[in-house]
Amino acid sequence: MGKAFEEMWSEIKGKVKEISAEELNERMTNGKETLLLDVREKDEVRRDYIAGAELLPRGSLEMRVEELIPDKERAIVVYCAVGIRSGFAAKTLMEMGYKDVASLRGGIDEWKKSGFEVLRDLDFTREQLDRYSRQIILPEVGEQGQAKIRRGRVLIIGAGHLSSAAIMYLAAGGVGKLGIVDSHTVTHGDLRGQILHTVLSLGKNRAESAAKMVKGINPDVSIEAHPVSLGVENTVDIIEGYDIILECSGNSRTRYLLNDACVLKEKPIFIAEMKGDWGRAMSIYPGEGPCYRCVFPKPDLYKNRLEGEGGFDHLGGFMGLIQAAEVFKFFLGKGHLLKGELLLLNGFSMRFHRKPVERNRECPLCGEHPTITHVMEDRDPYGHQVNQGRIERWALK
Amino acid sequence: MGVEVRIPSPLKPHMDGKDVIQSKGSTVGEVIHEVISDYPQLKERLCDEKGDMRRFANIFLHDGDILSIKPAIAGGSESIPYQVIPGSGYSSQSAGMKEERLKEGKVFILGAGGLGSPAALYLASAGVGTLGIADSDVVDLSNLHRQLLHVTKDVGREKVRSARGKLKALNPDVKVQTYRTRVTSGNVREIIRPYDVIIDGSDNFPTKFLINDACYFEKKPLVLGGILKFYGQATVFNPWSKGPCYRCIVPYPPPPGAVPSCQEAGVIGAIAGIIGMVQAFETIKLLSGLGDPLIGRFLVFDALDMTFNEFNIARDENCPLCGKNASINQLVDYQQICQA
Repeated sequence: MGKAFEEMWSEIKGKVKEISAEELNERMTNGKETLLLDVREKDEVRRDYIAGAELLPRGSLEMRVEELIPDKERAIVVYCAVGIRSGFAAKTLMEMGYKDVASLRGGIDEWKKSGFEVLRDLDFTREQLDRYSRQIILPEVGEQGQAKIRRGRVLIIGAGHLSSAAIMYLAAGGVGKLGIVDSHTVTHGDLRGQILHTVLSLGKNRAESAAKMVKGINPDVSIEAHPVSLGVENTVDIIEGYDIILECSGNSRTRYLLNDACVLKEKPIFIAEMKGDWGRAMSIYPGEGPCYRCVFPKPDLYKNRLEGEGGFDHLGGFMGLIQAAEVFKFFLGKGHLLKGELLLLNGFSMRFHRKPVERNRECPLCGEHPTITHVMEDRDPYGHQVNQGRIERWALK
Repeated sequence: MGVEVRIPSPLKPHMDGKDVIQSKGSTVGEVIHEVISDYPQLKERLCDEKGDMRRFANIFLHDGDILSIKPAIAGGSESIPYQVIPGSGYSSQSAGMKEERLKEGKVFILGAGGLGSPAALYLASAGVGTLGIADSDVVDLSNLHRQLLHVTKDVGREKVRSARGKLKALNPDVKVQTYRTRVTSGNVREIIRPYDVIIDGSDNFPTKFLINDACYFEKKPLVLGGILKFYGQATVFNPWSKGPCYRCIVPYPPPPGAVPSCQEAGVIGAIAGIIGMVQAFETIKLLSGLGDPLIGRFLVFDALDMTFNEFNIARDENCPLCGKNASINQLVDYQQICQA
């Protein structure tokens, strides 16, 4: 190294705070919220990086950092391979007005030597990089985001009109594993509004037909067809092994069953429903907001609607797609998710409404005194076991 | 008294991530001036070299004290009734929809890409009788994450052929007319003439202006859609019956390169699906005569915030195409200007 470098480096040593791998690990596990910034080049990052790090090569730091980290007060730890580039980057960030910047001493090499974990999930093939290029190019996605999508496992309940489009877009977008549950066979009537199936699938099981289509759309996706109907005996087993459940059954009994199973097993469940010209989407994050029973103690949806008589048979596909977009946001950790809110659509007017919904303290599943403590068959065909008096009171609100 | 200025997601990074800022300005000009002096990065996005507002970055005032900046094309006042509970007596005419009208319907879709795919699939499955699709491209691997008319084995095939195969498999009764050609000022009017509704699934301004003008001259309703990153827009232009045309909102195309296309900037596939489906809905409403189409209403979808905002857009008396003293009386090929 040249003399000028030595001078600059010693200046940096004096100005930039360095932290050790142990300190960083401590901060990341239970310390203050810290943004980790990897400033190495793309081919280095492809080999390995620290989980949770944002990737921004040193060369484009000044140009892109303010977009990536608008908040100048935010605590940032910069790292590179051995801790030199990150020192320069940290100094630059301080000059740009970032108040709380540190550099990881010894870089990712030291991190690995100290026995901490790294991720090696950016091993995309050329073909995959090409296939997802229009998605990877988004700053909110990038190769890292694509890797998060690839790690994602989604179980879709129903391969009918509610989920047809959702399944196709989840597969095309590169979600790693899709499970599809449906016990029905494809009929002529299904082809109306269910764009996933074709005349060639007539008479076949819908989950299996869907699985075949998914393979054709994107061979990268690992797909599991469950040609069964859900009941008390198999629901918990089937949802195991998935990160998100996409409820598109269009059947109240199944919806309540899955709501219960997912809340008890603490899995997020995204629900899409439709009837006539109305569509509805609700996402349930167990422990973080209301469950389906909190808001709908009994099936309420559009009892007066004339199902299947014209209308917008595709509306359901629309609500499923909204939930598919939510799935991508969930995996990417970006944007505002529909938490504690219902999304309603009227297809006739093409008007959307968002309505806040709250937890019900008296909810038999997630309320203060739960009576539903395991997945069980309900007494009545609607799949609820709630006090009749309370239903009426709720309905009057 | 100040006003509240609402910031759309694409501009938030330039404004320290804020959703809403307060301004003391008493006129729109003062507010914008204040915003730009506080956030100088916005200047080039909102103003041209002379300091005038860019025509494709519009500012809308609603209720007197809320101002929205929309970086693409939108206008008017937001009017979303709060809290409509489904099933509470909202009368549905769904059942009355005439299947025959769809069966007799002829729909032309410009582009078998991100928007054309979901629109065509859903229109075929809904039982629309004739679908015309124009696209000059072949399927590329990078199309597949959002263009679901095409699957992996179609890579390298002409998009219109792959589209026809998919639509026929979904509904063998649908007539699929394909045009493997670039739509230009020379052929567009002839191509769209036999159709009842035109869907714009193009991804560039020159084509959007061309199809808008052609639809105006041929007196056809146009269902417009646009997608970029996490955002989408849709509206219906039918200036011969009511409401504005595209040029009432954006009189002339922005200079080449000023606004990126989704091919350049990227897009989440499901967002293309959502807007393409809105276009399919609107087309079904136009064909069947039911429902309340997006005429004079501009739908702006932000998937990151999961918001659907609606802006009323009005006819511009001075529109160069459909206004009183229209200066455009034949098709203009902006394509060539752009390529030059």
